Amino acid sequence: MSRKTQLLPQVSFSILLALALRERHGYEIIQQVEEDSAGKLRLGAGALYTSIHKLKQSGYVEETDGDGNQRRKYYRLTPSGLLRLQQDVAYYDEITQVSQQRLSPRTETM
Amino acid sequence: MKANTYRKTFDRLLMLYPASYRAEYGREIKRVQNELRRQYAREGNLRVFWLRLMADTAIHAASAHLARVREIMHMDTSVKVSTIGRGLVGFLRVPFVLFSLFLFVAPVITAIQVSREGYVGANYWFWQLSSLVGIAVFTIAWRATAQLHRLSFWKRASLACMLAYPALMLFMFVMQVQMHAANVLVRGYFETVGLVSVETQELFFEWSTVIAYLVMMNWALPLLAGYKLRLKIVKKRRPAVR
Repeated sequence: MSRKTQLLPQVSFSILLALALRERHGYEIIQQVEEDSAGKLRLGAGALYTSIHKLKQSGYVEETDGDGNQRRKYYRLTPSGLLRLQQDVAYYDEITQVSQQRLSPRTETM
Repeated sequence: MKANTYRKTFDRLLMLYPASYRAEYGREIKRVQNELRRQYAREGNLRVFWLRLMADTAIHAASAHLARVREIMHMDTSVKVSTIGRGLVGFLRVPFVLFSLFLFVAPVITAIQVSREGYVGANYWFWQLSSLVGIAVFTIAWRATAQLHRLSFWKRASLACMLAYPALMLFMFVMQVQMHAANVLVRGYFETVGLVSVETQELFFEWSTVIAYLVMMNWALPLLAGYKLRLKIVKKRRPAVR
C-alpha cells in the first residue's frame, strides 16, 4: 500500500473484515464485528450504514439479493474491496512487526 | 414500552437523516435498531441501548447531512440549485404549516381581544366565521389529500394549508365586498326614506353585515354538496378489499 493512501477508519476496516468470509446483512455485520473485536466494538445502526454508504461509494462493497431473502439487503466485498483490505492488513502486519521489535528488548529488561 | 412505541421512536429518529439516505437505508436501519434493542433487552441493558441509539443517531445523522452537502457541492449547477431548492422547501415546510395554522386561528384571537374591550359587533362574528371557514377548508383539504396521495405528515399538512389559506383569503375578501355593498344599500335606503331614528339606522347598519354573511353562506352549500358527491365517487371507484 502506498503510504500516501490513508488507512481505512476502524469501523470501515472492521466491516470489510466481517464481509471477507461471506456476504452478510446489517445485523450479521454488527455481530461479526463484535466477535472479531472480542466484544470491544459494537456498532450502532447509524455508524454501520454511514460506513457502508461510504464503502459503497468507494466501490469496496456492493449490495446483493442475498440467499433469496429479498426482504433484507445483503452486502459483499468487491475485488477492489478485498485488495484494499489486504493492503491495510499488510500495513498493520508490517507495523506490528516493527512495534514488536522495538518493544521486545524493553519487555525483556523489565 | 409497546412495540408500536418503539416503531414510532425509530421512525422519528430516522427523520433526522437526509431524505435520500432514508430512502436507501431507512428500512434496514429500523430493522437493525430493532434487532439491537432485542439483544440489549436480553442482556438487561435497555437504558444503555437508548443512550447509545441517541448518540449514534445524533452523530451519524449529522455526518450523513455533511456528506450530502459535499455530494451536492460536486453536482452540476442546475442539479445543485434544484436540490438546494427542494431541501429548502422541505426545511421551511414545518414553519409554514405552523404559521398557516396560526393564521387560521388569528381572527378568533382578534375577536376575543376586541370583545374584551367591549366590542361585540358584526366584525366580531366576521372574524369568528373567518377562522371557522379556514379551519373547515383545512380539514376538508386534509381529508381529501389522504384519499388522493400517500404523503408524509408535513407534506400533507402544507398541501392542506396551501389549499385552505387562499380559500380563507378569498372568503374574507368576498365577505368584505359583500358587507360594504350591504352597508351602502342600507345607508342609501335610510337616507332616501329618512323615517327611522339615527340609533335604529346605526343598529341596522351594524347588523346588515350579519345578514350579508348569511347570504354569503349560500356558496358553501354547493361546495359541501360537491364534496359529498366526490366522496361517493371515490368510494365507488375504490376496489373491494378481499
